[in-house]
Amino acid sequence: MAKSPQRKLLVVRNLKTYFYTYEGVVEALDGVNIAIQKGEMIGLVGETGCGKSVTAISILRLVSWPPGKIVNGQVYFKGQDILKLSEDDMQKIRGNEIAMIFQEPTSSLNPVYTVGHQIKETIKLHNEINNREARERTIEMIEMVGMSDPGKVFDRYPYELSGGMQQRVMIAMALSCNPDLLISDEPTTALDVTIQAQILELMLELKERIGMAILLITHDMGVIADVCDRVAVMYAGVIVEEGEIHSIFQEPRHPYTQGLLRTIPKIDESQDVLQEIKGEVPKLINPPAGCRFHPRCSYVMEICRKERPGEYTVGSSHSAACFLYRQKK
Amino acid sequence: MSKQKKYLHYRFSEWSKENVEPILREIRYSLHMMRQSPLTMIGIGIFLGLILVAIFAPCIAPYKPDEMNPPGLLQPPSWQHFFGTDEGGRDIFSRVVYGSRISLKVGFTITIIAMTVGTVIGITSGYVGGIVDKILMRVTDIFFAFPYLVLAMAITAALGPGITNTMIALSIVWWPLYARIARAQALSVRETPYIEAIRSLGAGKLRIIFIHALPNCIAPILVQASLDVGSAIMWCAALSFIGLGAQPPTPEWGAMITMGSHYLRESWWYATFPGIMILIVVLGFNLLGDGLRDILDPRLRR
Repeated sequence: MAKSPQRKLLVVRNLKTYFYTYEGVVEALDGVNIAIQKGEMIGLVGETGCGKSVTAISILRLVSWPPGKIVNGQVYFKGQDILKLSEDDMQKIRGNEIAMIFQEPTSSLNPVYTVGHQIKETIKLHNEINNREARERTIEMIEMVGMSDPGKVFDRYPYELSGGMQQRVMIAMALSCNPDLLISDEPTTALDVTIQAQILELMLELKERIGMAILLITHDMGVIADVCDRVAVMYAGVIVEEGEIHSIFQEPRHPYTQGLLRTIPKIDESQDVLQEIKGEVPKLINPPAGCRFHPRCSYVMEICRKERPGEYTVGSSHSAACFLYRQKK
Repeated sequence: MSKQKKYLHYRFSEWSKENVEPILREIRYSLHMMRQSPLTMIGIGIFLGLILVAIFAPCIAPYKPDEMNPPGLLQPPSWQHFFGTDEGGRDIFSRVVYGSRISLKVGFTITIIAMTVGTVIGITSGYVGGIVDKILMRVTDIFFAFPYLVLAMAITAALGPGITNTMIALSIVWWPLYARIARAQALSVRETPYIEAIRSLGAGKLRIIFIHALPNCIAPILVQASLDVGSAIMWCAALSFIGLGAQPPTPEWGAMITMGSHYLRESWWYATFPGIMILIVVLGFNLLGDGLRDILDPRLRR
């Protein structure tokens, strides 16, 4: 794989996932490019329905057909295009090398098994290991995600645990095989604020300990600013801006990112009316031609209506998909 | 340690105390739930009673079920013959007691075969989807298109009358019901986040279907099954009644009603007591099924 740089853990190139529905083809992902380095925490931010979760399940090839299908693109994981792997080989990667945690911990655990059983099952799926060892590993994992009395938690059913504890169990399950990449799809959305902070802290701590990379999907800019090294901003199925966290927050380049950051209410200014980005999120069936943001963009130029912008570098490791920056290339 | 022995050792270690404890906890809780509902207890009582009667039939029945006594034919219920006697002078009470063995065998065999076949087909169909689903569901539709009893009659008639052939016929017409229930369950379970979660952790299709989807689909199937044991007994009696199931000397309740119907005007007890038995047993399984539904529903637990 000459083209994919070695240091990068995951490189997604031009990923397109479409959903074929009765009303038409939903172009949920339309050429997503993203790169994740080893051991970094990258945020993927965007509004509801912009394709963040689809990106995650496309990377793991969990898009179910019908109606969804990955129609184009490459996903290089450790230099290997995993979109070309057989389903069997893919199963060995899921959970073992790339793991995922979900938004709703309550419904993401199987209600008929104890949580210990479920963590143990994941461990046994990917390791040739006997029951006793698997049980010991499980108890270690439960301890690692910060729950006291792991032996007791082992025998608890999911409904006997609180949301925060359930999410800890999900994290334990996801990390039980030491993955190199953890995709967390809005891991804290369903939890209240204090628990949110605890879970994020736990993820940061475990990231350091295990040395994995984390792709954190969220719509909460505050969370991103707190914990991520880099951030990618997504709009209507494309990544519009990507860069170092400080660079993006201090000097947002893409008009969408600028608008997004403006909408966050400031604690030190009194505002009567909340800021908004004018217009509405485009329907992904027949999306706008050219740049997908152009109908809402206040800097719109003629070319924006016709052509798709490429990614233009706007600083050290900071790029934006906007024609405003084409000259600065 | 040889490989075989090592394997045995692992199997044994799975039954260590900490693994059994949560299972015991669940069983104790289920028992507690049962005690809360008097109707369930009645259902369970009838069910256990039927099993005991079937097991201890020789001790309970005062006479042999096919012991003829020509002088004492068609006698009304008395202290000697609780349920009276039939046209051969046989004790109806003893025949009803022995008949419970046949009914239990029939009810459980049909239900278990239909449930197993139907569930496997239904869950596979619902979870896998696509062309597999289409083919399997059209096959079940074909079965549904026939009136059950007519199809069962046709199959029994083709195979030849008899209790075994009746069971085969009823199993064949019964599995599509389970296939539909299982499929509907599998369709909803398939979309749940925990199935997606376990997929994202690298579980294969077979594992997901049988280890993760099946236990979450099984509650309504078990409820249906417990109701169906009663129905199976009733249908089998119905087929026997029209002469396709058990043949007359066999102490089968349905066949006894057929014979009794000829003497209904002068000897009411002949057809009535086997009929009452069918009523009680079917009612018992219905109560049991209703109770099980509440006990097995994870949403109602705790």
